[in-house]
Amino acid sequence: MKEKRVEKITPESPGGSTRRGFLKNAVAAAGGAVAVATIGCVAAKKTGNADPRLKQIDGKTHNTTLNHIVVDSEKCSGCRHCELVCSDHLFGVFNPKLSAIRVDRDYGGAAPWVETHACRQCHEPWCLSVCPKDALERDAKTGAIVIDAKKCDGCGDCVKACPFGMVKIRKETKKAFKCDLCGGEPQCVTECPMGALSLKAPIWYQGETGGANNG
Amino acid sequence: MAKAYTGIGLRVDLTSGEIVKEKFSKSDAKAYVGGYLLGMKLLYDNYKPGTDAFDPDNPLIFCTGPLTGTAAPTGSSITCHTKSPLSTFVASRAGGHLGPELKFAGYDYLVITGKAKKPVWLWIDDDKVELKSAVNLWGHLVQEADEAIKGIVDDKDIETMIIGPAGEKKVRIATINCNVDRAFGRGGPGAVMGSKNLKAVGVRGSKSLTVADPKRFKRAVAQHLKDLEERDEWSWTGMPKVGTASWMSAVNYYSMLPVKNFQENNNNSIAGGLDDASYVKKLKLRPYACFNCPLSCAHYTPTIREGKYAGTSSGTVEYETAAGLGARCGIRDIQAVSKATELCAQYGIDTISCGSVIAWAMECAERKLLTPEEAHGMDLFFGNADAMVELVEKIGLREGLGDLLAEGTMRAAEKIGRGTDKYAMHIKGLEISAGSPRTSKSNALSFSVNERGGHHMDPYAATIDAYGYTNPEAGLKKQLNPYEAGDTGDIFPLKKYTKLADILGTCAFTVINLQTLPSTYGELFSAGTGIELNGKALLEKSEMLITLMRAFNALNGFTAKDDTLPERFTKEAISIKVPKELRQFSKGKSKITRKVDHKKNLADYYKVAGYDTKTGLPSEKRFRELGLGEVAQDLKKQGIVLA
Repeated sequence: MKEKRVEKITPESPGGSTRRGFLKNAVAAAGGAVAVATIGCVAAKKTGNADPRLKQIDGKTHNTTLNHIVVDSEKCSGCRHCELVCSDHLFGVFNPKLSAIRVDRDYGGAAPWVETHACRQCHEPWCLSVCPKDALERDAKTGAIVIDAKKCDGCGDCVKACPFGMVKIRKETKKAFKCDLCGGEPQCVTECPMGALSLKAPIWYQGETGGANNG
Repeated sequence: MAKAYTGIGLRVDLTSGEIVKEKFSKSDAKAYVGGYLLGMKLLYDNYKPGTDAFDPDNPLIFCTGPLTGTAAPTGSSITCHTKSPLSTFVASRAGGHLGPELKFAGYDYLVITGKAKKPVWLWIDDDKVELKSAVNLWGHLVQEADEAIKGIVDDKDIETMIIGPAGEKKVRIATINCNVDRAFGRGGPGAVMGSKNLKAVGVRGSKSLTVADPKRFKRAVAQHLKDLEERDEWSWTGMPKVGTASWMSAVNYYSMLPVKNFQENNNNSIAGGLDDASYVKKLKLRPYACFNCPLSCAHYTPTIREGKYAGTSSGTVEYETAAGLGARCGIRDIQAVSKATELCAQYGIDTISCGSVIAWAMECAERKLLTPEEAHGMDLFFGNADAMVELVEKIGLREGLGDLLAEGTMRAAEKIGRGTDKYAMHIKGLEISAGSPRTSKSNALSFSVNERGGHHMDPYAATIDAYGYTNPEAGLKKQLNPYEAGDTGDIFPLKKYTKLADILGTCAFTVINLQTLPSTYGELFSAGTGIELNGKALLEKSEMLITLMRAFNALNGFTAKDDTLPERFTKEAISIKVPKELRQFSKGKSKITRKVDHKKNLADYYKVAGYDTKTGLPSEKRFRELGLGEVAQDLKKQGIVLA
């Protein structure tokens, strides 16, 4: 999949023979995402705002196909409203254990903390790659890794594969579930009372830190 | 069963070890709703009047509300009910995450009776409920026990309620702590739990809650948020930043601060040391909210790095705590208060009562009413922060002077005698909270008629007097004169209105400034449960609760005479600085002198509430109208004459 994208995204140097083109290819191969942004912008320029995947976030153009839910731990109060909203969205019930977003809390100790974890929609998703039934795929519109419940047999390999604990199995149905970005407009982001959640491209992809800790 | 409820109650008999699950029917839900009302009904049914608080037959009850655990904003409540070892009865609410977890485990309420032979803790893991030995947990601080229990079940995400050494030693002002620093604070429930040899309850729930009409419920939630946002700016600005600590300077401005055991009501130096600016500067803080709360009044303070109190890391230093352990004891050092708060949380002590009883000891010592032997050689005076911090620990362990103070202000004053009861600031045995009654007549009245004693949440009338909030739908149409006695009839509808949150399982901060409309709560309840009760019907339930509480007190020997105030407020006049906004009520004067004309205030309230001036109870007819006909019969059997 990555290879394909690299093919597509070298508009400036179709042959990839110039030094600049070579560099771009190298970056694209390493990160993949940078390249998508480039083509996204170009596409927008050409068609004049046609691509629905392009969104303005903090004054920058982002390709939403690589977005995931980013948590600002400084703002998060640990109220777990996101967990309720999530289980309501996924299953129509209130149950934090059936939420795809997770608030870890440790109060009262010498160093209390609150930390909220959302699926990173990894660039190289292990949950996807280990599934023996090919039940997981990347949604072309939102960029979320989604699970096809019809194919899923509840073996739990994806649950074990995720290093962040972001895939769970629902006991009643024996099906795996995870964050699907609510089809592009995550309810937790909209409803967070502290404004601690946002739908953003990974930090490394935004070019702010250069470090990569998101898949 | 009605939606939003789980439909199951849990009964645990510690004497026999028997655990029973019972049905909580839709008709019961319709009659008793939940929270305080359901809890008081269970207490009324399971408690024989006259039983001692430490008797194994005294039930310890925990109740959730219909909105607990749902998406209704602030739906985090769990309430605790038992006969109080300190005052009349315990009806205490805690936030945090315990209430929702109990519902997710599948239970609406929990009734604990009897007494275990050896220390035990109760483990509720969905359907599996068992009693486990707590011999090794006994004697440990709350934090230590919390960590140990989480280690035993190998899950740090469970919710716990734990008593500290204070509860074990039956300190009458002991709390039950939920997740370490949220607490069932007032009236000494921790001591009752300790008397039952029950160290802790751990809960893990994985079940789901559903509502009757999801679309209508969502609309009601949106309306509730709108009420909170539009009708009360303060909640959304001050609260998430510093929580109730933001009140300190305001309370001082309105001359309501209980400085030095209520001897002064305004002190810029002390308020300046304890206000939100010092709080942020000296303690720094991070918000941590109760379950599903958009306000996030709670904060925790990262560990203090330098100075005398290095290593301290307390939970929220609430306004009441800062005023109780700080202003009331004449202390202006916020770090000392933070240290005392940490100790209160670890030993399981109520910060309000603790501050009050220490302030009483300080005043008695300053007036030479406490002999050096009685004080165990401690040098007590207002402003002595070291002594205050030391005493908190001593109360928790019942050591030295702490053993006397652990009995609560009323009993300590009775033991010492020599007129020290004059300085005991309690009503019905419960130490009064930090709002000067002489500055706000509504506050004075609501303290005195409070069924559980000198507590500030039934209702929090000080804000009404200071800011003049109104809510015509709830029957509050005009701002009252905070200084002139009389015209207090509005306090009764205010009290009914405030109880809505306690019944439904949401936080009092949704009603404290009269933000939420009763009709919004009606919608939330009806859409959530499928039982149609509008705002007006819910207000009737509030009155039912208040009447049931009064009946409980009447059966235990309390009468209208107990609706009183400490004589400091009715006999000693105090000078009040009148802020500009309230000078319309002081004929333009910037300084006035006032004491409380309690008789005049009480007469109005009783008239509106329809209470008899001797028994303090409504008529038999009103009992029946409220669905409490049987209770009226019980009262008559005890020889209490109803009008």
